[in-house]
Amino acid sequence: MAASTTFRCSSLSSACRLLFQKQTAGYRQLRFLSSSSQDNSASDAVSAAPENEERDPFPVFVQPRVQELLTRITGFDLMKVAGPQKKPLQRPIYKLMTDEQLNAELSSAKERLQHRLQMPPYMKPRRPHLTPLSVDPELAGFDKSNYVFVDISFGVKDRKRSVVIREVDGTLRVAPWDVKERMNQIYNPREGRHVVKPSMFEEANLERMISEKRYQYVLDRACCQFEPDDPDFIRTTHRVYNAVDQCGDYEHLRSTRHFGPLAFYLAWHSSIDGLLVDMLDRDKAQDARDLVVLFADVHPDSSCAAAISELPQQDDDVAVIKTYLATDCKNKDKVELSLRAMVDSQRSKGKTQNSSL
Amino acid sequence: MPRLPQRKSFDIIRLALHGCTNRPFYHIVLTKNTRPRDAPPFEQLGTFDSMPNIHNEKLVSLDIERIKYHLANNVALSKPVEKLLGLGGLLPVFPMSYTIAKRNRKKMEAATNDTEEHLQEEDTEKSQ
Repeated sequence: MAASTTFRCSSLSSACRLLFQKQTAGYRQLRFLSSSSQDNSASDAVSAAPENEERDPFPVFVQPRVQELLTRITGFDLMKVAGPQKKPLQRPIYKLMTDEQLNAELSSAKERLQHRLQMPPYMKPRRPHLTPLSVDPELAGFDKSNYVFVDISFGVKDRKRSVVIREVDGTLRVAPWDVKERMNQIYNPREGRHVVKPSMFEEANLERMISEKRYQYVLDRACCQFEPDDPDFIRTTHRVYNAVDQCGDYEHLRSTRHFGPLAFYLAWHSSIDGLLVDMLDRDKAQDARDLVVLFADVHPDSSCAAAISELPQQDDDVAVIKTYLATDCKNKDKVELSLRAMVDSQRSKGKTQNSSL
Repeated sequence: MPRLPQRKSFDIIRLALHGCTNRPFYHIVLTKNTRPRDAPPFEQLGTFDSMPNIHNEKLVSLDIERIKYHLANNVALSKPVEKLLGLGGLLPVFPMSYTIAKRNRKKMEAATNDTEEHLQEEDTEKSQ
């Protein structure tokens, strides 16, 4: 206590020594703002939540096999990924190229466009921080407003940034998520993100957007505005995925970055039948098979997964879909009908090709 | 001609006022103690916005890594900065913060007591 007053005393060196001693002691006592202790506090808050919660989808989502399946069923429609977009007018650029150069340019463009299909991660909602860092009733009423402390050290990522708040009643706690997001946007602004949540994401406005079928716009904007584990992000995206599933508008999202998470959402909630029927109706046997395999990967304990692992030829699309039909399918008639129609059309196609040969 | 003794010169982390009329805004800076308040600093270590925002928060940003480095190098701290670091949990809470908190609490108690007395007086007047 006395050390702080020594700052003004005449002998500067002793003051500095005292200050330093006090500071080092302080570090030992409380290092709330350092990144390592921040992690600890975060884990404390996590452990405070109930244990018997549903399992975390994120580790399943990032499995390389699941990612591969999702990218494969997303597809790559060049017109949809890089089709005409509203842009300010500019002069076209003409170049004279050999075939070789043109092919190289095309392949590089395709590689570039693949980045646009990077999927937003599918996570469960983050938990609030509950345990305060320190409770100090002696400090209650030190000011009329809360103090928010933000670490702006060089190279700290937004997700790793430590933000703490000293409340009027003297408690020091890790800032709630909304405050943290706000601070990130103030001290490290990102294009397309707003400090105040756009009213578009309110329930009533969201309904209107969905009824107008502007799924991609809503999802793109949600990706921009929210972190993937933000409850608002999860609410918005799930609402849109539900609407897409109900209306059967899967084609809206095919070849966009949102198709993978949509498929994963449906697989996670065991309601892939609608998407499966849509794929079969569009003669995408490979995609339908991938979807069933994805379902089996997401639910390794299900009877479908067991049946598929026992299949003699796992490459046979129709056989895999049939095992799903026999085990976990909820809407058997519809799927079976679509499957039969697809098989028939494939057979007739094969016949016409044979006859033409 | 008697000469004034030369002031001791040392590095200090303190606040520099950068704002406009009726709108204070502070930079937390590292400078020499003898330099003018708003002179170009050696290094800026953070900011402090002393006006509460619509969420009733005062925002402090701190370059924790650099502040720790300078603290390890025996740099001095001005009282407001020490108070801020204390509230932020980087240092022990500044003693004066406790005193001020106590005074504020006392004031608030007195104010509430006053209003209660007033209310009671009004009640008695009404009943009469």
